[in-house]
Amino acid sequence: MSRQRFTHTERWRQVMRGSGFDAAVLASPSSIFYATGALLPAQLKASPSLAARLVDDRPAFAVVGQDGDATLLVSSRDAPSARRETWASRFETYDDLTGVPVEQLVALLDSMGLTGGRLGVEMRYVTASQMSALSNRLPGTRMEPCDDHLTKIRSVKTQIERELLQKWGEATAEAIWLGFQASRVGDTEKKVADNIAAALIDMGADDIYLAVLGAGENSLHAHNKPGHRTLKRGDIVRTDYGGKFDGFASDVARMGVVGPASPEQAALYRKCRDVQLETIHGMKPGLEAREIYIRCGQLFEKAGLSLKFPHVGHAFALGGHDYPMLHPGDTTPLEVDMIFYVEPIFADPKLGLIQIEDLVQVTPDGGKMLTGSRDNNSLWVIPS
Amino acid sequence: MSRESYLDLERFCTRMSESGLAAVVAASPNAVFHTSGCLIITHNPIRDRLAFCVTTADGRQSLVVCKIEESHCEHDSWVRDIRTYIEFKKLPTHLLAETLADLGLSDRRIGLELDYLRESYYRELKAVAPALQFVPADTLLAELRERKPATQVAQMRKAAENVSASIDELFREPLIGSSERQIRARLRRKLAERGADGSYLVVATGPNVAIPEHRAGDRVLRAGDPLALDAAVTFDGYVAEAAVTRIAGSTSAGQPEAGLEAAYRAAARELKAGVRAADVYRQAATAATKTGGSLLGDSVGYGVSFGGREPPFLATGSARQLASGMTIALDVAYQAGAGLVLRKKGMWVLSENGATELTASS
Repeated sequence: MSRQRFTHTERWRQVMRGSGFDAAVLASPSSIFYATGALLPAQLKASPSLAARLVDDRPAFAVVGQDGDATLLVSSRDAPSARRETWASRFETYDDLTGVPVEQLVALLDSMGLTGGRLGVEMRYVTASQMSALSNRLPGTRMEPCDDHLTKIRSVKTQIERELLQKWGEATAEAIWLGFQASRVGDTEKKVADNIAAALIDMGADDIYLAVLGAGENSLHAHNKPGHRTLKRGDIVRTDYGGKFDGFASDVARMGVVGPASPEQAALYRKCRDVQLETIHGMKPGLEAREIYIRCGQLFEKAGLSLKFPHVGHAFALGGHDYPMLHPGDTTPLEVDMIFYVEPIFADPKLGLIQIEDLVQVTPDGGKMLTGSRDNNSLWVIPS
Repeated sequence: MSRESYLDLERFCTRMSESGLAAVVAASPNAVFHTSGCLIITHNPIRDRLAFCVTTADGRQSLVVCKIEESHCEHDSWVRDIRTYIEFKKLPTHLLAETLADLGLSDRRIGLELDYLRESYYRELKAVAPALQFVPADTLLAELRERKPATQVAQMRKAAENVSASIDELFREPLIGSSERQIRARLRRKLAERGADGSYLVVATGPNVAIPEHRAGDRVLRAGDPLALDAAVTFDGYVAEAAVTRIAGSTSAGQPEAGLEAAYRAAARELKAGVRAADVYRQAATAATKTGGSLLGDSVGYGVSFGGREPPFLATGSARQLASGMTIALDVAYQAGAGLVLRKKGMWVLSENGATELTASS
């Protein structure tokens, strides 16, 4: 894969030159994928449902200079597949069974003339043990967090990255639709989730990234694990679903109702959808992320509802939440071609938790919905 | 979920006392799951949304979780002292420090997963609780997970059976002419139909079989090609692992497959409580040599709990003694004389008299 496929090289150079770091030491599989193209097993394994520690098996490191040129250090076990995929100009390995990765990282930094200077380190991923070993071995090197620099680089997307995120976001929304249509009253939550999973795999997903689904009262749990509760006529069904696709991921929330929606359900959903659409419309460059949150809260109030959740959306790179986040303390100014999953949430004790989540691109005219091919301006009906 | 059927709290507390610890703080998803019964699905993907389970040496337990996960934890965990932080308003590490202080531990020696906890959060914690003395507890927690109660073994057996059934079903279908990607998608769909939550699947054909973590590509399976499958799959938080290599279009086992089977079975026969981990490797290596092949690598397996390789490692030189209740992924890579590498992996649970296979894939 060539760097230009999705990494924003110019932005990398601009941010890293401004940082004053001689180089950045990356440790998270997602950052390594973004900066080197190597898709490590740890990235592929990363799953909310797979409670693996992931980092202790076979750590990898990438040392990336101000110009974006990368050196990759991986275990001998991961080397054959990583070597095929990376655009890193230098590739080093440590023995899977006998190697000491941090020691080899130190040797690598030394060979690159980077000891004794100033290094950015991904400290929200490097473990306390690894950092302790690094500090002991490199007493004369200043090591500072570079996590915020990395998120700043990733927050503005190249066209190919936007297209990939849109493609998989749309596929996820469609898989939810298909999964709902394949479900019936009496099915368990787990059966509905499995129907969505099957549809998503048929649409090209490597795996399931996120599978939250709750019916009726269970929809009030923010991250309900789909279980044995059966669908009843009139139940609200909320799902927050994501797939994994060649190292990328998706994160889409949709709402259904078993049989026709009651007038109350339909009205509440419509109000929340309008709040979401208005919020998206107002996502203009130059506004701070926190202003989007505040505006969303005002829209909820105008609709006679209230915003209780701590954020209404998040940037998205390769899975999970990325920064900026649309929360009251994030002062990051929005920029053209930033990407957010926007998800204002409203909890009604009787009707359930209303969550609609869509992928949005910041454009000069405001937010542009990227996952709107299948109309969801009203609750999707699950056949009764 | 009942704690008694899940966590051996008495043994946990004994180990803490022996190690001179006033408490252990679980921070990784699998340690929090194991010590609290609560699998928090945003724990892995949302890096800043930390969760901790504190267990004191006298048996008290507290959970520190994001407010958004509170109802889920109340439902799933036996821990009743659940303390919550609101994202972006309070740092989880600060709430952890307050919790430790409330438990009377503010100047004590605390075990922490330093091989998991990220440096930036560790710095926050040390800054807000300078009197606390943190020491690594990774090994203690991993060893605590090694021996499983019957309820956990039952969950792992169910997961293993689902994986075996999916692989067996796949092999009954015509695969020659399909690409690695297509075979992978068919296997993943079969797993989805059986309720799999997450998976990591390696599908390799022909020369790609030699690449341990090969990512399925466009290579098409031809008659006579080796086809290798390696699956790690979770069901309800429990992982099952299986690997198998077959020769496409072959109806009977040839020498390489027979050699692999002999090495695998020799290792399996040695699996029992009281045996040294290295002896399991030695038995497999001897059997492999007798068939004219050899083992690839220095290990024939590892412990399995909730994902990832854990102790005990069945490796050359390991003096670890195996114990009853351990669940092991027996993972044998066999190199035939001609250079072809075949692999077989299955899950086993150990008892005093031997081991029982959880994965019965043929």
